[in-house]
Amino acid sequence: MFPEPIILEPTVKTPEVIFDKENNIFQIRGRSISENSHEFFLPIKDWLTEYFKHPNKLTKLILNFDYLNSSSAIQISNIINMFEKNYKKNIDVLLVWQYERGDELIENTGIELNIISDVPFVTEIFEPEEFEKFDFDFDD
Amino acid sequence: MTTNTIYQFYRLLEKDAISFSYRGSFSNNVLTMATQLFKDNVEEKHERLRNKLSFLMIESFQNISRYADTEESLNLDENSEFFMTRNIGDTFYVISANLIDNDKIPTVREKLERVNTLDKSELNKLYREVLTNKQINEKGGAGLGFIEMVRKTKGKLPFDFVTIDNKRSMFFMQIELRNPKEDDGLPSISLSDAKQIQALVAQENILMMHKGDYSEDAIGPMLKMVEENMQNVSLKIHKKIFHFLVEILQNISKHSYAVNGKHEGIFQIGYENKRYNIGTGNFILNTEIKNLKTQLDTVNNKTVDELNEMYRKYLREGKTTKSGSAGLGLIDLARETEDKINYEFVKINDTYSFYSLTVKF
Repeated sequence: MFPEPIILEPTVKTPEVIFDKENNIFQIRGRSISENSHEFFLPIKDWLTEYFKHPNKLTKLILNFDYLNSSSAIQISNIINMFEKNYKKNIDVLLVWQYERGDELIENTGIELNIISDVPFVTEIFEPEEFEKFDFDFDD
Repeated sequence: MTTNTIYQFYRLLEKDAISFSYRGSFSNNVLTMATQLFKDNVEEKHERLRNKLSFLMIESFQNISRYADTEESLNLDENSEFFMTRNIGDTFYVISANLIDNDKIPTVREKLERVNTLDKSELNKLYREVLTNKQINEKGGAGLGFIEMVRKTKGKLPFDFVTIDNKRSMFFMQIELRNPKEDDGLPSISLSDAKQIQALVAQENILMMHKGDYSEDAIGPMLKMVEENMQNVSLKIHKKIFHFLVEILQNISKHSYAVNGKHEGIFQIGYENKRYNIGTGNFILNTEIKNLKTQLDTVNNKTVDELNEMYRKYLREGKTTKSGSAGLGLIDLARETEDKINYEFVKINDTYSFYSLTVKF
């Protein structure tokens, strides 16, 4: 099914990425601190351009970072802009910004991104233990 | 820690290709990361020394925890344990300093003096004796560590005890590992250098210091090490330090002036009056100073609201930094630091200067 899903394993500097139209999963999770974040996110943005030509009924993007450097923040802002443009064309989208309890930096970046964008946007606290457990099961 | 401290250390460590020092309570984590740091970053010609160096770092490190008897305290003071590894020319140095009870000094001194006077075959003999006799003292070593250090380096172990009071002294020791295949002809660094560095690190309340090549590849293991060592710090502070370290170090790798093809830089993390400091230093072309200074002054003179406004504008426009305007990284840094960003430029020659920066959290 076109477009082919993007599934990227996390690395020390780049997050886990799943953009899967068929299973309706859209998420970026983990750490994004690469200096060349532009290069990393470019294929994702290209993928989204194709995807939004025939989007699913609702596109829910989960953003969950433990670290995000400023050049990655710009890339995420670019992606949110793409969601906003499509939302204004009456395509249903939802952005979910998740942050760990007590992580003010990521919480605040989410607040800023929410302020500057005109798109359905929710922020959620998540418990890291659940994730660790999930990761563990996943790896095994 | 001030911008001048960074410059002072830069001068002290001028010849170091890589150096790393750590002060405070020791965990195996620090050790793992420090050995990794050197494994990943030593030059190819020293590759054969890697395993030996790791071994010596481990021995030296464990020696600290073995002899560091006096009650462990969470507060850092001028007598906190200190560990340092340096690479200068074709030689590696592993330096340790820790408190020792005065009544243990004669035993340690005797062991060290003995290994320092033995020749190769005598050392091997002693090594086997100690191994077979299993004469292990209550602290789990019969000087085997010292014997191994001398055997592996084929040199002596300079050491000293600096009296603090009638109960305790500071025990300094230095291991020197030369590359037998290379000879840079440089004289050895004396133990008094190590003492001077330790004293300054303590005086300036520095927890961790690194000097080396800040090309992108080199930053990874360092960040990992800092992160692993921040586990006992609150999540909020830990994330902030890590976040800004990423920004600052990437800034060095991107914008610093490369001398002899290396983006040389130094970074320090300090803790003073219950606040963390990050300090960095690197070279910059003289022609770029004016522009950078404008950027720094711009963000320093903005209120938090104005900075937030700038930050949003940058995010919204979604563009990467153009020269002539303050980058998102600097704006972000200025938003989060409790004081202004302190900076200083020291002219090195007509081409470049030393640029140091400190921020507090």
